Amino acid sequence: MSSIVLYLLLLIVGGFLSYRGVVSQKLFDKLEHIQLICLFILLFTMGLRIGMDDRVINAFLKLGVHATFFALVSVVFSVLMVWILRKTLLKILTKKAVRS
Amino acid sequence: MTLKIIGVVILGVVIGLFIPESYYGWTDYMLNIGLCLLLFFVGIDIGKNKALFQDIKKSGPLFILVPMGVAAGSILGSILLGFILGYPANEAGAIGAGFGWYSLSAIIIAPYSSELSVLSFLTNVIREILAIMCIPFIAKHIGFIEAIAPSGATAMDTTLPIVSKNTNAETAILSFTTGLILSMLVPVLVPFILNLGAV
Repeated sequence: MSSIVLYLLLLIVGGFLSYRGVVSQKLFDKLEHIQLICLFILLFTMGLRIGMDDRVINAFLKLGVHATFFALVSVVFSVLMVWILRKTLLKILTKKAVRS
Repeated sequence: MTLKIIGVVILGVVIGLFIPESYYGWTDYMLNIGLCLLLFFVGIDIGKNKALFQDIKKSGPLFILVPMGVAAGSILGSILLGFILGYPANEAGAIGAGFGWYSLSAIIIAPYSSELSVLSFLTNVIREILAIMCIPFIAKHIGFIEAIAPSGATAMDTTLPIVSKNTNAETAILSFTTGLILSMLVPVLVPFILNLGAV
């Protein structure tokens, strides 16, 4: 649970410093590169862990099939949920706003 | 970019095949430090958008409703599928909570389980590809707002041009704010759902 607080805190502190103009233009210019370097190091490390774990390598095909199902279901359910919210909750909120 | 990301992961996997498992613990440190740095810089990136509050105002109640719907749909759908495929609810829910941000969600899950991390990575890569393919169809046949849903967290960057091209200016702004909220939720929801424990 402490990691969640730390992640959120880092996001907020970074966002706050940037919004308040504390961050220099030099850093803004290099921001994309810095993020990319961090990301590539992390992804490489993730790859190392996968390569070191025999169970993952052996189950790769099964994971690929499951991933396709998970992706399909995530897309279908998120569209469905937004559609339901638009048809129900948004209508109620709009009616209330018009009345007030 | 997606190809570069996949290339880096494959390179890691190939090198990892030749590294003894005794070094596994070191990767935990690398992941934690790297993730903290990345999230701090992501925060800076988000904060530099000074028009953020104006965009939020323009979107009205949809600003909250759309990301709420996308988040609930993705997590609920994944949990239901998890029951069928035999995954514990917390693991399946965490995969759904990646919202298409394949790099970050997979990295957060990596210390928990390499197998689940691969599943999360592949799921969210495929989700982005599916989003690119189905946004025009959804915009045309279901609705502009629903067209944002498949994108998830990528609605603010990689899939934003596709949403913008197939909908209108208001929906494009809503797409950006939806992606922004979902991006902020990924580092919070993925570890939170994982920590809920097997159900």
